[in-house]
Amino acid sequence: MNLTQLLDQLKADERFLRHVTRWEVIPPQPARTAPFPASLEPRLREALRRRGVDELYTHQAAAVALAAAGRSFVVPTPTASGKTLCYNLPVLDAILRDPQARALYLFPTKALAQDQMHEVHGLVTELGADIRTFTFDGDTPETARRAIRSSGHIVVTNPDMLHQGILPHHTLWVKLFENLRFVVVDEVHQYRGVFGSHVANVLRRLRRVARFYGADPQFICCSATIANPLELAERLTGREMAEVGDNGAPRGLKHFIFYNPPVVNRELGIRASTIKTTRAIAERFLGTGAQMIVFARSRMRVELLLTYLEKAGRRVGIRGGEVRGYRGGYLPGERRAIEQGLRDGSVKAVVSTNALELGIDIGRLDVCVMAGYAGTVAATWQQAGRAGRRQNVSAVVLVASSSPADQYIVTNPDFFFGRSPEHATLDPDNLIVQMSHLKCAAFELPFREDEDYGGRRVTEILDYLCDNRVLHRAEGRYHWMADTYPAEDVSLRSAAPDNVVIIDDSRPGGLVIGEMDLFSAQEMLHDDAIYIHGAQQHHVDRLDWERREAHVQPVRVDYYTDAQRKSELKTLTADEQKAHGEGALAVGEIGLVSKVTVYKKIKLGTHENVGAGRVHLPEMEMHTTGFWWEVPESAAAALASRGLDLGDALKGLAHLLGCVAPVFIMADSADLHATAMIRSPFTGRPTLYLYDSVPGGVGYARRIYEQFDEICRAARSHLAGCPCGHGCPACVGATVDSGDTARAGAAWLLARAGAGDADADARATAAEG
Amino acid sequence: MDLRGRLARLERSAGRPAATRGGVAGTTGAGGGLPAELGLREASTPAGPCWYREWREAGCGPGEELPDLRGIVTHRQARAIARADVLLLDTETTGLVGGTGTLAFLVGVGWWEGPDLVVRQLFLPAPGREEGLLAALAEWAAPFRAVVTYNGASFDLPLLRTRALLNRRGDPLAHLDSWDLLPAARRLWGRALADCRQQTVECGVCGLARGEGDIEGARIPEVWRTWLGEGDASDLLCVLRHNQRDLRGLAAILDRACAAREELDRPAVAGPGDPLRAWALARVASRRREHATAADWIGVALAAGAEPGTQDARRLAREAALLLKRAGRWTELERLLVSQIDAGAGAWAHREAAILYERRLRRLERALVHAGLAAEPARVERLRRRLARTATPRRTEGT
Repeated sequence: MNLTQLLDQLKADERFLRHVTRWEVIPPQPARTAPFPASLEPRLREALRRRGVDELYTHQAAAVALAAAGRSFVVPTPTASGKTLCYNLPVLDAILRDPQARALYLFPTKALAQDQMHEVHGLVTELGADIRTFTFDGDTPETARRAIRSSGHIVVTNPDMLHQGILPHHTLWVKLFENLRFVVVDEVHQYRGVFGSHVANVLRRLRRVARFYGADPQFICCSATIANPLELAERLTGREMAEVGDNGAPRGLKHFIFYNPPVVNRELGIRASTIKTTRAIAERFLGTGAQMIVFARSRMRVELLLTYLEKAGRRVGIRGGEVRGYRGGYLPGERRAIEQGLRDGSVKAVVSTNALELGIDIGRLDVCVMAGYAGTVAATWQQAGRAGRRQNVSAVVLVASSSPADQYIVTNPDFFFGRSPEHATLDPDNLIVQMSHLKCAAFELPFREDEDYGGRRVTEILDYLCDNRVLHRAEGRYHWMADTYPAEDVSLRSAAPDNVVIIDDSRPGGLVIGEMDLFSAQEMLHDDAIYIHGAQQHHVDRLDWERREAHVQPVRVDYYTDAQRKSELKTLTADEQKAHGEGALAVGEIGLVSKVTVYKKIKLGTHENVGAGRVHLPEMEMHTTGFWWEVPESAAAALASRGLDLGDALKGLAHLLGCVAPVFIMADSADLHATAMIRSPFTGRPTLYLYDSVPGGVGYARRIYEQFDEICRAARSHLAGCPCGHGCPACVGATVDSGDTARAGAAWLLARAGAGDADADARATAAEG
Repeated sequence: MDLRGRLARLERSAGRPAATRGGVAGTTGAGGGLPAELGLREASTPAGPCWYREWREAGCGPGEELPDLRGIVTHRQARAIARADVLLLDTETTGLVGGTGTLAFLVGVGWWEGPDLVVRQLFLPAPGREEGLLAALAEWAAPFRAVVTYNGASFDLPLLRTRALLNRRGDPLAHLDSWDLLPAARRLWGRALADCRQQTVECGVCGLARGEGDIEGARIPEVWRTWLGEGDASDLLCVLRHNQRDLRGLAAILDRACAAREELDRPAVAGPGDPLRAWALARVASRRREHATAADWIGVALAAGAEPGTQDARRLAREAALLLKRAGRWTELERLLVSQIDAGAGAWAHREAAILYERRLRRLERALVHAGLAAEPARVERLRRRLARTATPRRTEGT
């Protein structure tokens, strides 16, 4: 049976269709093209013609024209729509006209940088011009670095390398900075949250150093489809930008199926396991011979699905090596082999984390199955974009989990298929992030007392750093004065600088098989955890917290482990507040102490709970930004008079908002936490909190403060549409966790969350279903 | 809550390394002016003032005519340079990490005027006053032709280049050949010393001891910062003295390097310190492409012999094989390989022997035996074919 036949069969399969909440057929779209802009260098036109390109897609032509006009711009465009020409053409054009001109390309990961290098290289070879492109990252040999610094026209790197390897040594890069015409930032939607806030500061430093050498480069950004690409790109680069609309790339016929697994426990509102459902659906596609990618949301799930699909593959004659896993923690060589296998067809199926969501070239596949919503609409479209050849039919299946974000998406498909509602959020002015980068900036060039950074004066922070013996003020400037290298202490990827090293003790002398950040390590590498790596289970014999080492041994057991984290919250200051109905909304600073206390053992296959254990690890402390809603004091009595409990209601509402809000602010659900207190020591009232789960916060809480009404509207409509009786994980949480009256109580509170209008009771009744 | 309090709390809770690692308190600099006990003088330059002190001493360093040091301090054919053309240089910096945020707060330079070594130390009284220092350095370095440093090629020279660039000035030392004595010391004495730090070489090769009152290198950045922040100059004098000793040390090491170079002009005979001394000289000769001299010296080293079975002995033998090959000393090479094979050397000696017998000495049977012992099937096969051809008598017409 081939793919089309299977799709026909599924269309006629009542049992399958019962759980399909949307079967969207996306029609093929022909290409819309424009002739080469007159300004394009003739040699470049010739080279394109030799490659069979006689005209450009409309968005590519628009990009070339904007670049020629000296503008910076952002191109929001789906996967595989020829976006690389949007920046390669302007850059190559500039270098052909002026061989001294230089460009810097930034990709969020090293792998992507390597991959895109080959792309540019192809075009340069076709041109036959002396244009040198190099990747510069941690793997670049010392012997090649000097040549790259002085003669590289296009330097392809990642933000981490720019931050730690290039900017602090800018005097070695004089040629690049003096002649820097373009900075290309690809996948800008990745630069949100903590990472985005850091990268925005790295780019501030880049512009500052470029200014020192008399350069003011144009920025070209590419983004997946989000609601605010222009705002994001402007915040990230600190420059005024134009937006290129009108994507002219062609696409083939695509079936996009939302599959919501059946409710298996109506009482608890629990749905069939996403993993098991994904496994069943993926196995059907595996039999068609179509090339497939399966996305899972965690490293552990990748390994689980890989194990299942390898077994299933053997039944239909697919060998072990033809089904592969792909995720962070695999070695670079292994990854390159898998990418190559996908391109040449020798790998039939790959199970991946979002590591393959980005534009690494793996060719175009036929089928994409997602075990759970990718966390954002943009990321989901990017993952879906992996399937889709120009000629043939392709299929995408999104298997929803029980989590409210997933349920919100599959039960509100118009939200997904309509115009993107997602706002990417970042906060370059997060104090701790900004201070870290001010140290780096002062190391790179002394700060003038009257110098602006990110558009404003920062003397107060600089003076603080003087008091702390990091800077020294003399001759009207702030000079770096410590004997350390500040960029080394600042990791762009996380708020915390440390990692735990994973060591396999069964290998002679102990072999390092991976690394993990401290926060995740507490959950995945505690003593007696089962850590899965390369489909191989490992037992954690010992987590040496002081030395940041986890010692593991390969084992074969029939369970995996899942740890639970407990947190305690303290409100410190309110930065801003406003009245809201009878209550109030506020945003401010909070302190948080969290601790992993216990873990569960869960049986493979059946996913039953087969045991538990205690975890003894130190508390982690964090200060961050929080949003809170002070609920009117009268709520308790009003709820009680309806037979509802305030505690249940708050808990239910926290669960619901904690999962609906990330959808709007483009946060990973792990980046935003929600909790509630019957009486907050700070407000003295019942209070509901939503807070950034990263030190200092990155703007999520503030965006919720601004968009609270909109988020509440979405939460109300989601709750009203949820088919459960008294609550389920998809809305207010299972009744065992949130209580029997949580759904009705949350609906009542939610109705009052819209600035005290008269229809509140009617809305509450509607939401209670 | 004020911003400072918030910053402090956020830093603590993010688990960041404390910001207090050896920075400077206060924002006043050395408000009280330069301490008199340092004996600094002011020189004026078009770019601003420069503070320095000068010192002279007699009788240290190499002779007035320097030998050609190719193979020791430089790859290139060194220009004929007199002692008076050489500038010694050593910097004291605010950190050892490199990058644009590290300053050189003390630049010591030395040169010879007649028999005297003149030491001039340029002192940076505060960050932001580098222009005067760099201008004076450029002016004073102008008459020289080579700059002698210890690890300067990787550290001091790029650092000064960066400082110049950041102050929008040209590199004050760009016109000078760089003679870095660290790689030279590694080459000449590396095997004989525990390590190649400058002080180890001064002590082990030149017989110089730093004596009382020297300061540990790692503490130096802190001394300047303490002075800058708190006006406490008590240890600055130690740093100046340390820098002066470093320059004197450079002169002494340069002298020993010249002496080593002069040995190459004399017949290769055994002496104290062999085999390491002769081995190092062989290496230098080889870098100078003086292959016959290299072979002579490696012969001396082999005669002295390293302790059998040690890593040094194995390395010496392999390097000797290479140098003898380069010099075309086939008989000596054969002798070496035979003795190595007798002593149990592995595949490498058999492979070298196979090559030697096949290509140079034309003894194919022997070559075949060694190729077999070296486990090189392709060579074995080729040698068999060659042997078969030579064993078959040629048919000639009429037979």
